Amino acid sequence: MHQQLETVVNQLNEIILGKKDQIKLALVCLLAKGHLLIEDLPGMGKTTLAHALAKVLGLDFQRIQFTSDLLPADIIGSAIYRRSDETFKFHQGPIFTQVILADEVNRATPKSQSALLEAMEEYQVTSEGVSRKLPEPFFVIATQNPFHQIGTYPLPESQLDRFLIRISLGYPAQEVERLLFKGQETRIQIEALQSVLNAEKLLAFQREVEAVTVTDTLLDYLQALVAATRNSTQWSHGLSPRGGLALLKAAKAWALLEGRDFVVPEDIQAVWEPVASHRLMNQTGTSAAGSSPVLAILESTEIPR
Amino acid sequence: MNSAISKRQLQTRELPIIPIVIAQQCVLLPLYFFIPLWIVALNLFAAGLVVWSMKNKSFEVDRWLKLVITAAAIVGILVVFRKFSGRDAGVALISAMYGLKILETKKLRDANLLLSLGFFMLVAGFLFTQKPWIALYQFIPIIAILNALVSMQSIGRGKVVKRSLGQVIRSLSQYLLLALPIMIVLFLFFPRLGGPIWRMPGASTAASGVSDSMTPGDVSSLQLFDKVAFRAKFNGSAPNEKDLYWRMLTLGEYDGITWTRAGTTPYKLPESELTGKELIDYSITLEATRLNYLVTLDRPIKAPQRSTLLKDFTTYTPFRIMDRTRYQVTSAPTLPIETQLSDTQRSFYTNIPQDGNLKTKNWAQEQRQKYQSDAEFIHSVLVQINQQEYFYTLQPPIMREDVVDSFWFDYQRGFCEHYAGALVFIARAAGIPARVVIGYQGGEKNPLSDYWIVRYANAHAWTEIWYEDLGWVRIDPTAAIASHRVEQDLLTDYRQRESLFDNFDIVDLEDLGLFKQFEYWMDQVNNNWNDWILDYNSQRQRQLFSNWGFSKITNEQLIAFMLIIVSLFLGFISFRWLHQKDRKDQVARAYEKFQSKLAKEGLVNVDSTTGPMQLINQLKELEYSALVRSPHKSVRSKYEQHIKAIEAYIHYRYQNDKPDFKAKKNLLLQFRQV
Repeated sequence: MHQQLETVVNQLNEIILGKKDQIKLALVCLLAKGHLLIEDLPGMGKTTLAHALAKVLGLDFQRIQFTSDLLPADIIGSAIYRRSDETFKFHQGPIFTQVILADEVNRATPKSQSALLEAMEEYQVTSEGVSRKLPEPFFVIATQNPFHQIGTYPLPESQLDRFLIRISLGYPAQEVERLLFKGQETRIQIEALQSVLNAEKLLAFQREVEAVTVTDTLLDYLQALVAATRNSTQWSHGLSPRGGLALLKAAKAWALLEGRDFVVPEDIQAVWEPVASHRLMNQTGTSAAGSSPVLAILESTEIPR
Repeated sequence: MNSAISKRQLQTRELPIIPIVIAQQCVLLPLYFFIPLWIVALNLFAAGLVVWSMKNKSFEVDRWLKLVITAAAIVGILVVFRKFSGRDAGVALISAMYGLKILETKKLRDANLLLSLGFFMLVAGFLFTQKPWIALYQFIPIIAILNALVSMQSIGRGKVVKRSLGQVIRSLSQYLLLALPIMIVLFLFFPRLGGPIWRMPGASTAASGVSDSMTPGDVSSLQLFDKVAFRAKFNGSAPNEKDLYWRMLTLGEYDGITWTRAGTTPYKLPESELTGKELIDYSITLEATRLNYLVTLDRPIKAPQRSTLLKDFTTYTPFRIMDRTRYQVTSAPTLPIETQLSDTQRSFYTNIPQDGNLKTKNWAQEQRQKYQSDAEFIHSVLVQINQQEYFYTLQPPIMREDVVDSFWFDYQRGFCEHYAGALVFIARAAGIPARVVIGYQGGEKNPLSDYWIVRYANAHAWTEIWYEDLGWVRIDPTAAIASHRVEQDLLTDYRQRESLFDNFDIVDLEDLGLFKQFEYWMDQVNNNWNDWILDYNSQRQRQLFSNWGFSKITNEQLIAFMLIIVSLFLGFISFRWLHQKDRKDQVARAYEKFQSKLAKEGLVNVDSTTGPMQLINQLKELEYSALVRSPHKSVRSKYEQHIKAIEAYIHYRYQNDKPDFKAKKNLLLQFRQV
């Protein structure tokens, strides 16, 4: 079982070069039934990651480019009048898929954003008073551009909290970029990818994540970390219980990815920053990815023995 | 959670009946040897009934049945003992009631009472015997009670981790260990009463060995008692075993049948007589004799405290020796006594009844004429004992009339009392002052320790003959018997009288059988127990504290000291206990030690936020680079061992919450090896 997860990581590594941790975190997010937020500039490989992930896992993939004139119906779908039998027939929008890339999610109006967020939270969409179930697994990868805030609707903190993990791909290293230039076009590479898993297997992995053991000493550690954010003056408020739960889930998924059925302190440490930083607001907004105050918490919190 | 509700739930929950019954029966077990068998049966029946009804939920012991059983037990005890007071009846009653208490142990409260009472019941065993073995045994019921109490605490706690007997004992012993300092402080400080707290009526200690009179002839067989009469410890080197004449009583008056003691004149030895004499310092631990006399090595120069040295060198105490008594004495074996004898005394010590034993009387007077001096005459009598057919036996024929005559001329067989009695009679008949001394002779040295054991079997009678200028001289006629005329089974018993015939060496430890060694060891334990525990009375307590620089300490001060020390200790323990949460367990400590050791060796870079996985990664990197440099197997195995230990730690710590004792043990071993 673990072998397959390793293969997934390796295959993705060949396409998105030099971003092993981010790939693993993306996978962790999927295994923990969470959603992924990528904060990055255009052209960093967000789409490639989403696309490749869907392909390797054997899942359906859709992409929505969020714009200011995007309407909820453009995401969910709408009922269209059919003249032949004089009825309204619901046409599914792009959200009815297993992996969805919501590109530049902060460009759309809050109304459209909330349509996506309802789907993320409830695993269903409501149109014309009828709720429709989304396929399983359902995994949202949203991206936003943190630097061009004019004419955007930044996600409020309550909605940021819905994303289990936030990562940033960032510029590749020099050698890695060189390889990128030398290599094949990524689109062709993705086409050539063999899917390692399928939806069913992925669901089985998700169940396995839930069964991963966390001992009391580690819960102590986790609570100590959460408490540290609440006691710190760096942020206006600390991690919510949902944030703590997210940390626990992500750590479990990380442990499974590492081939263990129990969590060790390093699992919590590995997912700490991606899980915590976008939930912690300072005076100017959310902490940037890889922010040092969040990592400092890790440095100052002892691991209980 | 509402605590009232939870409490009620607790009460109705299943009690841990089996541990409770085990604890109760452990408490009662030593008493079962001393109470009537039917109470034992009743108690076991009650326990069995409760266990059975626990297995069969529908069955419940009827309230009236309980009442009837209890009433029957009370009536039964009343019928058997005719009273409730006294040791035997009292203990029988309390053990019956305690045994039956299990029948109405339904609630947590009852069980708590039953178990707490158990601690009190433990004391009852000491009413019957105070040997060290019973004290040792008491640890078993204490552990059992603690175990039951602990299992009661875990009612309603959900899953209980099953533990092996060894683990249970180990963890409960830790509680006992905590109680140990308090126990010692209470023992040392609690003011002692002068005597025992109570004296049990009807609990007589049969005293035999030496009595305060001697009637040769009325005993046809003397039992060799293995029981210890006293133990003696010499401060310097001990005299030869054949010189160990332990004096108890001097018998001077003879009515033709019985020798009794006479005279109670106190005597103070003039200091001047002691110059140039060899002095022997020793202490004696005397078992209860129910007599007023102390045993001393012949001849004591000063009576121990609260006793008087009499003129006949008997050491008299105004109270009977009812308990084991310990005293210090100094003796001068070569001390001459009464070199001058007044006429009254002379006639007293030569007085024999006018009638009876005429044959011996005449024979003695005739014989005396043949010798120049008293000494030569006495010597000739001893020679006669040695040369003629005189036998030493513990089963002499019964002699009713003219005891000396029939012994000396007809039977010529008897034991020390017969010989001593006859010799004194003969001497007196010849006009030589003489008297019988009774006490003990010899003893055995415990080869494992430096004290002597003297048993009832060592009881002996000898004579003192008065010579002009020499005073009273000890003459032991029994020693004169030729060894081939001593009954064979007495000779083979090494303890019996051997020193009189041959000078046996002190028993060599290597020659002893295993059993004998064990016996000596037991006696040593017993002796230390008596010395340090049972005989720790108010006098020794005072002595102990005066050794520590507290002379004249009052009882109030003792109690104050005791309370201060105990409360300081309890305060310390509770402080530790309150802060126990901060303290790490054994494994964590071992791991941290291991970690800092690796850091010290410069192998790894760690702080409190470094997890074990990181440690492994660091080590793996090191191993890799070391292997690149020099691909030696030893390099690999070194790191491999470290990594294995950490992996074991990870599994122990993070794989599950249940404590795995075996894994813990292995893990600690692994860390220690590194």
